[in-house]
Amino acid sequence: MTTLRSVRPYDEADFVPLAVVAHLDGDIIIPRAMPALDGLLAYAIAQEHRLPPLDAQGDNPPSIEVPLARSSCGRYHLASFGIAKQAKASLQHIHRKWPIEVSQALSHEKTKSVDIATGRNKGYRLPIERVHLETDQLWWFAIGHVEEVRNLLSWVTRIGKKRAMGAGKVEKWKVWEVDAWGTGFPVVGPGGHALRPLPLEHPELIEPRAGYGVMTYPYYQQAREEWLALPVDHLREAP
Amino acid sequence: MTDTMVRERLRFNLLLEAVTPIKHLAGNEGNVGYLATRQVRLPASLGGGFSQVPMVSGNAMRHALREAASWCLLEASGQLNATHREEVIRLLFNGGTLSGGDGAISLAEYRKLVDLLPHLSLFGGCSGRIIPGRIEVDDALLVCEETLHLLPSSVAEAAVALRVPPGSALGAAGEYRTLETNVRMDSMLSPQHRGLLSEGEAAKVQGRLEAREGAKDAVEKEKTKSTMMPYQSEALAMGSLLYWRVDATTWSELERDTLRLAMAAMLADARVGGGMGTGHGRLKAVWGESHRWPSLLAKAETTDLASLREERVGQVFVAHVTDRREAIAAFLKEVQG
Repeated sequence: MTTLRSVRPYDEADFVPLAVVAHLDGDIIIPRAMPALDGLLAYAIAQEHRLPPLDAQGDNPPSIEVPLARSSCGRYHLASFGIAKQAKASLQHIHRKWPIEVSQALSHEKTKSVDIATGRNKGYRLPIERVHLETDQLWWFAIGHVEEVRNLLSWVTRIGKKRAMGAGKVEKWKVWEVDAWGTGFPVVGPGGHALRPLPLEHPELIEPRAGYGVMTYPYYQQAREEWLALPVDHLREAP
Repeated sequence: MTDTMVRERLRFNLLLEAVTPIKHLAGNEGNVGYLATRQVRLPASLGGGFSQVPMVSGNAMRHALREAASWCLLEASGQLNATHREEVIRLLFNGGTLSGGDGAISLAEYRKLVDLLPHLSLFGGCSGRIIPGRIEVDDALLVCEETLHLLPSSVAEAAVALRVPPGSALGAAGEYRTLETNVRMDSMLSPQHRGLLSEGEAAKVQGRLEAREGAKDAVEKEKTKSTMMPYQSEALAMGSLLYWRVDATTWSELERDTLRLAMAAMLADARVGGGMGTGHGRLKAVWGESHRWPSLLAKAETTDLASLREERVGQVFVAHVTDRREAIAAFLKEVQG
């Protein structure tokens, strides 16, 4: 299997503890887990290599390696999920409706009727929560290559869900070296809580919250879920 | 796609003027429709905190762009006068849906799809499987006291120059909201209209009107009541300014031209929201700038709105689609989703 990396060479000896902050311009939609830093970097590398969507890559898609250190077990990268608190939430509805006027103008003569009450053409009014974050900032911690992480994040201009319709604009990224808070850095917080999905037997965890999660990117592939220690939802509860 | 693949980021910052009242509603309470709003963070000068400001959703604006691009495709491919199956209309104007099957689309199919329908590589869609889009369309946000600080400085300066006389303020969001009252009439209350009824029907209606006059309790009143219904809805006042931003990541000259064409076609007759048939929803671009980042590290090149009115806009798209007329016609006959 081919492994794709960022197009600029970097030395893994330069990996250091680092902090990443996305300064947002407006609100963001995060209905489930917070965005993962390694997932964002993998997306950026896929963009650099101009990969088509994963579903279109056949049975043997290339793997992607991000400029972050891997755990000792090698199953995940040493990077947290996003950390932020919400300042205020609001509810939005997303609507879809069948374009009746277009359908009347262009439909094939064999089309006698279009069912818009059920099935594929059914309209919807989908509620979705948008949140403003405290100080409009979303934080991550990781061990990796500062310069290369910075380069790759310049590909990421919006984060969260519904980016195509205006949510999750990133105004600027900041990446810098920091001091680690302890041996759990950056995946276990100072209080012993998981900052990303981790194996339940991780030695630094204190009373981990167990649940089904995906260990590494792409995190949206729910078929890969396994029983793991899940991160605290910083957005909605205190760690 | 035959031209060289070069990644470019494009951004359009536009000020849109409501030529007619804009009725982009979020819902209704009883007989009153209320405007869709977005939560915005207030500047320190207004006390901080949050406020709700009317807007036209990014979802609606993006749909208007997609629709404009789809009409352009149908015209350039000679398919405008043809008739199409439900799946084609759903893919072009609704973005398609996920259908059954094994949930995978081959790379060859994917390339064919975005080659024949080039706007799908920008807007995305579903034809058996999700094709991610690369265009990000913001809400068209009302320009007012609460939002001025959120605008890029060039846009804020232009908005103030367009709307604020020296020494006065832009006005709070509430000042731009209007309330319209309409009545759906009951034509049976008009003697002229009743005169068109057949004899039997006229007697029935006359009987109902007389029963209504003599109705004593609520049940009887309900049974005999008129169908006349007053209703109200909020609207954004004519002349309101809206700030609209569109971002896109493009990889080829074809994609860049497709985007410019979609923008130009949409802005030529921009309509959003409800009540389009009754004098609502028309928008006009009154100011704009476009930024182009030819590489990740390059500085932006900025041009004004006139770049969308150049004659060469759409030429690459039209040539590409025209060359593939037969293939597009054949593809549309088989499209799924």
